[in-house]
Formats: sequence, structure tokens, C-alpha cells
Amino acid sequence: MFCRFTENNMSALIDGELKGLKQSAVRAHLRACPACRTKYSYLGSVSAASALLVSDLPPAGFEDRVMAKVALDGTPYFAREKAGLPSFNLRFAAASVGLLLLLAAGLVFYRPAVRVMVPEATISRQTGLDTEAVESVLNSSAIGFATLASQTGR
Amino acid sequence: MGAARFDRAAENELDLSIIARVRRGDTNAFSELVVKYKYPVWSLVRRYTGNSPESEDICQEAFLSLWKALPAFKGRSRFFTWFYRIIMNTCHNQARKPEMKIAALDGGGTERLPDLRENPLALVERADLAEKAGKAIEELPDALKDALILRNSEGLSYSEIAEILGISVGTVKSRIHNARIIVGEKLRKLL
Repeated sequence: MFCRFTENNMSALIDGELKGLKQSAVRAHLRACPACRTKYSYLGSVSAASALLVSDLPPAGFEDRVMAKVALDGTPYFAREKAGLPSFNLRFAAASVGLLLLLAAGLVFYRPAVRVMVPEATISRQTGLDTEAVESVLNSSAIGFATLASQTGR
Repeated sequence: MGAARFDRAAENELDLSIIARVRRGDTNAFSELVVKYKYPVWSLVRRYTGNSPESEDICQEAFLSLWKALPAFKGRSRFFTWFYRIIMNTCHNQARKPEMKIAALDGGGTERLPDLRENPLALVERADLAEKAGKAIEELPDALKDALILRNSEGLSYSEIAEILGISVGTVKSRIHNARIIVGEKLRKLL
């Protein structure tokens, strides 16, 4: 039972990641259990072998080539911020404010159409058409007004 | 430990100040980041790709990804853990490309610098062991490989690895342990 616990914590012990009571318990078990001690020693060797791999250095001119690539590919990305152009959020906010202003202007300047009822007799008198003709033109919707206007020349 | 934590915090402060300059359009500031991180990035990519000839392309791609992603960095995590995540993702993406040949077998480049005081035979044996360990690590599943490489190459703490990989410290612990068990088995067969 404790062998299992110790084995699960061996790597953490090797890496110095085991603290406090856990560390003491695992160390105590390792002192007492030869089988776990062998496993621990083997795991330590594996860890050391893996750590033998030490990388070489980046080739000469590496950063120049990176910066050349960045200059080719990415400059506009930051140029936008540099030029002081608003970010997406700012543009969204500006569009929202514009829309609100438009709505407010619409409410202020909107005037509902007022239909003025003029007696047909008056129209007839003013246009010189008889009342029947005026009535038929008025009944034939908006086009009627245009016709009426064209007929009377007003 | 405390000193290391302080160093990380100081490093992060420095990174953040460089990033602020980059965001103001100072391209030279980005080259400071490249100079600062070129060794760890190179080391990480070389280990991950097993010294593939494409290592430099992958490193350049990682820095280019950083350049593109930098405006999205909110500073919620430390810069280096965020950047390491980008590097790991770049390695994974490149490894998925069919033309990408990850060859850890030749061992070229990933070698300890020779110490002339050492026995030449011991040096050869150690180089051989390192090569075989590299091959064994190379064949690990990605999840185990990521954790072990971050631990071995960069000496990151379990909590830093957890932050980079977006997993719990407990998972990091078990992944590193399992990775070593598998590498050990492979080495046993190879040696």
C-alpha cells in the first residue's frame, strides 16, 4: 500500500516538488523498503539521462531573421494602434452613439402628416372643375392629386 | 524558492514593460523580447522536435505567433507561461504537418558541450545515453512529452508547467512520473 504511494511520489521527490509530511513519509519508506529504493534509484538515473540533453545555441543571425519575418508579416497589426486608430470596441461604441443620435434627431424632427379636409366645392371653385370631376380624381388615391395638378396646371 | 519566485515576478515586470512598448508600436522592443527568449525557445523547440532541421522555422513561427497574439495578452497569467503555451502549440501544429520530419535519431545539436577534464570514453557513453534518452522522449505521447520536456529543458516547477499546459499540478506530477517510467522502459530495451 505504502509502496504504491511512494512510487507515485518518486518523481516529485526527485524534482524537489515534495514538501512537508509527504516528503518525510516517502523518504522514511525509501529507507525501509529496498524494492522502492531500487525503483527510486532507477528513476533518478532516467531523470538524469533525460537531463543530459543540452541544446545547442541558436544559429547566428537568428533574431535578425525573426525580426525580418515580423516586419514582413506583422507590422500593420501594431501600426493600427500606433496610428491611433480606434480599436474594435471603440468603433463599436462610436457606431452605437451615432445610431442613438440619429434616433434622437428623428424623434425631435418628426412631424406627422396632417390631412386637411377641404370641401370639394372649394376645390371645384379654385380649380374650375366640376364637383364630380374633383370627387373622382380625389377618390383615385395619390395619383389623383398629380392628375388634378396636371389638369389644373397648379 | 522565495528568491526564484521574486526573480520570476521581476522578470514578468520587465516583460510587461517591454510588451507595453511593443503595443505602442515600438518594433525594437519586440526584438528585445526575441533576444531575451531566443535561448529558451530554441532549447525547447530543439528538444521537442529532436533537432529537426525545421527547428529554426518553428522558432521563427513561434515568435511570429507571439507578435500576432500579443495584443490579446491580457496579463492574467505571467507572460512567460503564456508564451510557452504558444511555443508548445506551435510545436504541435508543426509536428502535425506531413512534411515535418521529426528526427531525434541523429542526436546532432542536442549535445552536452564537452568538458575536456572528463574521460573521453565517459563523454562518448554519455552522448550515447543522451541520444537514446532523446529518442525515447521523442516517442512519448504529446501530453507526457510536453510535461517532461518543460521540466527537463527549462527546469520549470510543477505549478509553472501546470499553468502553461492548463492542467492541475497533480496531473503534471503523474504525467512526469509516467513519462519517466516509459522512458526508463525504452532505455532498458535500447541499452
